[in-house]
Amino acid sequence: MSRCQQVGQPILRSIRQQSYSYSATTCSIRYFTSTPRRRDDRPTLQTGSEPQNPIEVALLGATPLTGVPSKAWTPEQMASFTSPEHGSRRRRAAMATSGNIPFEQLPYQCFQEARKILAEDRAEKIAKIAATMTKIKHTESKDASQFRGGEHYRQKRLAALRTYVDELKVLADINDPIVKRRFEDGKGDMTKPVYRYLAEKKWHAMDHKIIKQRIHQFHIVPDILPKFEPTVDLKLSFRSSPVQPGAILDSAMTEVPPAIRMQVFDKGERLMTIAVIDSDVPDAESDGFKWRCHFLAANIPWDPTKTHLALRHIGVRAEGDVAVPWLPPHSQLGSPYHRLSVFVLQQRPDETLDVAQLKELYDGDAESRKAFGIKGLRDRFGLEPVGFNMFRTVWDDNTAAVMERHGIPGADIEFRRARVTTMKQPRKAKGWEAKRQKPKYRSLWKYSKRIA
Amino acid sequence: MHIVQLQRPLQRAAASSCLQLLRPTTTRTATAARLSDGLARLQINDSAAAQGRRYASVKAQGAYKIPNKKTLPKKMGAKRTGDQYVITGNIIYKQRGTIWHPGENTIMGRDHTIHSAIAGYVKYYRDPQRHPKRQYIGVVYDRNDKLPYPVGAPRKRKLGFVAVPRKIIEHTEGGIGPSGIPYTVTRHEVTEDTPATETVIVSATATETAEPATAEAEQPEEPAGPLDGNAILSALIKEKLQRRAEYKAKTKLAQEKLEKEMAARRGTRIFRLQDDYSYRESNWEIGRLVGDTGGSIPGTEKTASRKALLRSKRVARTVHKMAIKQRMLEKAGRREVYRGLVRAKRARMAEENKANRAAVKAAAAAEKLAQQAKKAATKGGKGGEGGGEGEVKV
Repeated sequence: MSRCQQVGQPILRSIRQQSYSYSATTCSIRYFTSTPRRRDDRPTLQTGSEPQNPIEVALLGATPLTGVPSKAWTPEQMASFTSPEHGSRRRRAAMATSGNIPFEQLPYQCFQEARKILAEDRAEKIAKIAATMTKIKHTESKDASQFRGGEHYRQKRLAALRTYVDELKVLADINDPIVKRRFEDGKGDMTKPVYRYLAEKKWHAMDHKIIKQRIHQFHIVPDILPKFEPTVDLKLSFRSSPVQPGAILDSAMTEVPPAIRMQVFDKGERLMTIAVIDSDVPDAESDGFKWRCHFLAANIPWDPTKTHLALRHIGVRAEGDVAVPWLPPHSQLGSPYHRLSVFVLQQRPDETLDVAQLKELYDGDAESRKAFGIKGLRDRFGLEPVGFNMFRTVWDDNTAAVMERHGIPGADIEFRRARVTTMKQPRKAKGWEAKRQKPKYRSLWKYSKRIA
Repeated sequence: MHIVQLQRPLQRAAASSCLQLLRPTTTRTATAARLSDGLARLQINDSAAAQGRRYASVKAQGAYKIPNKKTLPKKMGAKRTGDQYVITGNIIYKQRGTIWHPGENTIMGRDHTIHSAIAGYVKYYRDPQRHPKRQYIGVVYDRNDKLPYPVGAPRKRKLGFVAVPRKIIEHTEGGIGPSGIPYTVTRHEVTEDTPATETVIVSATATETAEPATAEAEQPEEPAGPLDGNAILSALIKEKLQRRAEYKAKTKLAQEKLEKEMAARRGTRIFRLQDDYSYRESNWEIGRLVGDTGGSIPGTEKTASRKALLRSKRVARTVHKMAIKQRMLEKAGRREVYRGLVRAKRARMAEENKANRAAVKAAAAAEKLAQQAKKAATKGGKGGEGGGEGEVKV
């Protein structure tokens, strides 16, 4: 007997006695025992319309959940059947054999006991939330002069209470298996604190670590910013294929602006600025590197429910203003790899940036683009860098064509390593000939000079 | 080793064991006595010289000149002082263990030697924020810089490259050089069996094209045949088999074409003009002649996780199922079309029948009417013909 069948066994036994017809209330009353009720003792007649063994149906793959389509399936039906939303085979078997009993009413004693404990805990948390809310109201209603610390203290106290309420909201729902399942299915409502908390936890599990590593290993700190801690999940995809942070990408691929996947984990709407900067533009004159702005867009409204934005849609289909349009990343032959950093900066609450000013500052000739820096942008406009991702670019087969298409000069230049002269003294000539170069050996010059 | 030397320990062992055997016996026989004498004679030369040991009293191969290893000078310590200019790779400090640690723009070698990683000026310094006790050696670009740099300051970098015009390699395939000789010479391998394969392919295509044509010719006849279940089934099976055969022929053809192409490519060799006016193949082309390893190079395979493996299997399964469903759907669609045809034909036949019946009825009615009219006429006019009729009728 397979594992799934084992799981389905007790419930199946109960259901057979019921001949597939019951209400939710009866099953919650009756199903904790496997002994049959008296009126169920008589053998049930197998009619032709009776479905076959539901476990088999469930495991063989025909959808037993809401009725098998008798005729040929449409592709949509097929897709819905094979979609992972139905869960594992075990879950499907359980669903098939439990005849659509709601999950909360599944007749397992231990499960129901555990649910009781969870319900108690949740009630406790909700009571605490209510108490804290009344406290907040009380504090709000009181005058600042009534506190020893004054208005500052009151605000601090209110903020602390509000964070506590948020914590309690998370704690109230965090143990609910339905919540967990909904989150794992990607159906979590990001306006609710518990789903935001779960999303953040998931991000911190791996993606955040990778981004932190890239920031460290590619010296984003301190080259671009002296200090930076990402708090927003930001992912890139070029031509609808996701790219790993720090990957070296083909210039044909990066010719079009990327689409970003961005998830914020704190509530409320805010305005964002997106900037892409190349921090390794070689400058042969000064024998150093410069920066270059590749993209800049501001005033993009964002909240936790939003996830996806194609940069080429900003100002067209999506809200926001483009200050510097996309300049395809390029690198000249021989130059070391260029780091292209995508930064998301959060604007001050209820404050829009003046795009005309941004354009004037950074969207001019090549020089004005080179005057761009994330640190300067941050300080000038009071932005807070929150999200980061990056990719790299080197000279490849398509770079020359891309540069030509977009009228970018510099494809005809190649970088070669500058020669470093040795510090060793030139060696003195040694040997028979060298010795006989002097006028003393004039008679031997015919042998010692211009030989070979 | 000499055989004599090998024999010696054996002899010794034999002698000692024999003596031990012989010792307790009080009655010495003549043979035993002779044996012991012989062995005693063997034992006489049991000295260091006999065992092959010799102590050197004279050193060989210039060993007098080689000093003691332990007292050899290791020449440790600083090779460059603070603020001294160094270039990439210069040794700054030689040490046993890390007396000094590598700092800014320096690298440590296998034996803890500290080298410069850039061309600049040496700085000896401490960095309490990095480590409270360690001392570091660094190299800076600017002599006036002080190490350590402030925390959070951008790294100081130099390009170390010069910009030169890019050398554009023009493709000289088939061109003629300035000296009037071609840049490349292409040689094609002559294959004898090409015409044979050509004919085979042609015949295959001919049969392949012929088959669907006949099938198409047959298909319109099908609805006209007997419409029992067996016929439908057999038609479906036939169709399936035919499609399979077509597919096989197509894939075989494609494979053959690919193989031919590959053979042609392998047989084509391009010789390029060299600086010394000789012609030779490129190194990578010569390497290609050997062929690849015939599979992945061991150790380079991507190790997928168990989860990824399962996921890919699941996806494959889903796709397979979808394909089955799709085929079923298509088949059902074809069946539906066929049924529609049958239904249409039946309807048409019914219509025709109805029309025929109606026509027959109408004809009968018309005849009746005509007869009645005639009757009336005979009654009225008393025509001879009408009488004739009347007689017959009677």
